[in-house]
Amino acid sequence: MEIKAAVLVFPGTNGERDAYFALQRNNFSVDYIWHDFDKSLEYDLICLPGGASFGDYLRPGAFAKHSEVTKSVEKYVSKNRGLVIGIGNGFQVLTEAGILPGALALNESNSFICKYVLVEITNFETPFTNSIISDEKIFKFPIACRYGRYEVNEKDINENQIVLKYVQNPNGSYENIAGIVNKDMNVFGTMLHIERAAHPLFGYGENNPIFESIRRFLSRE
Amino acid sequence: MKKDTVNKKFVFEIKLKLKEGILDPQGNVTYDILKKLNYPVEQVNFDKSIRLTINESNLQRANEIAEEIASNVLVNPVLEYYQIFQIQEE
Repeated sequence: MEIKAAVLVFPGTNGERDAYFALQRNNFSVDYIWHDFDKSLEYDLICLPGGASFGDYLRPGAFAKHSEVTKSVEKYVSKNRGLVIGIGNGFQVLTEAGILPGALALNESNSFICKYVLVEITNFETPFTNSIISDEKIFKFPIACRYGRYEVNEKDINENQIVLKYVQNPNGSYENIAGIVNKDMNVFGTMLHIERAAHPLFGYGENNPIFESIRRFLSRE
Repeated sequence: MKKDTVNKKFVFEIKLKLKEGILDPQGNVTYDILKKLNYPVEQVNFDKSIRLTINESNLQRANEIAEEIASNVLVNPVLEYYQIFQIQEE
């Protein structure tokens, strides 16, 4: 069964090829979708990749929420058509658009952080994590961002929406949160560059645990 | 009835400020330096300031537009609040 994924591209996005590569390696059939796309998104997975949409002007992700495709994503999510993931800037777009709770603020250190971090999966009951075939709970992923400090009002997020936590908080994120889902658990956002963890050259296995979980989840439906 | 013509410009300054409790790393570092230089400062905050020139016929309508732009486009309500100042009318 072919599983179709769309990688959204805004002006200034620069992580689309990494996302395309990672999804393809994990057996998705992938299309790029330009930000002015205003029709219904007929895909099983929508990926908002990393980069600097609209130059990160005003705040990262702030202007991408006004693109037509973001409205299409909102409809896609409310109809529960498939799954959505936001990586880095994609996560920022999803929070700015209100599709995910909270916001990404300037790192505590005020600097761009580019390194590997360890994260613990704290909820295995989401489509993004429930089919991970590993006894491990701790995974290593790269981060590369300046606005990666996750802030959220306690009342806006439930414990079960927290999917990933940093083992050692790199940027001052609230409660060490590294990745979250929405209440309906069909949207996932993280500052971790999970798409850069998709090749043995970078010290990873043939499959990426999160993309693999997504693919297994979608193939079961 | 005389129709309003758009022949005026209104300039607004919109300030975006971090909410109480949201860390301001740049402000904190600047505070440390100013303290080191023996200035009697209590707090330093890095706000954002955006100047808008709006073409409208009257101030009330221009104000509403500035308000709408600030709340719908410029502010992130999780982190920030905004203040609008009218600075010029031509």
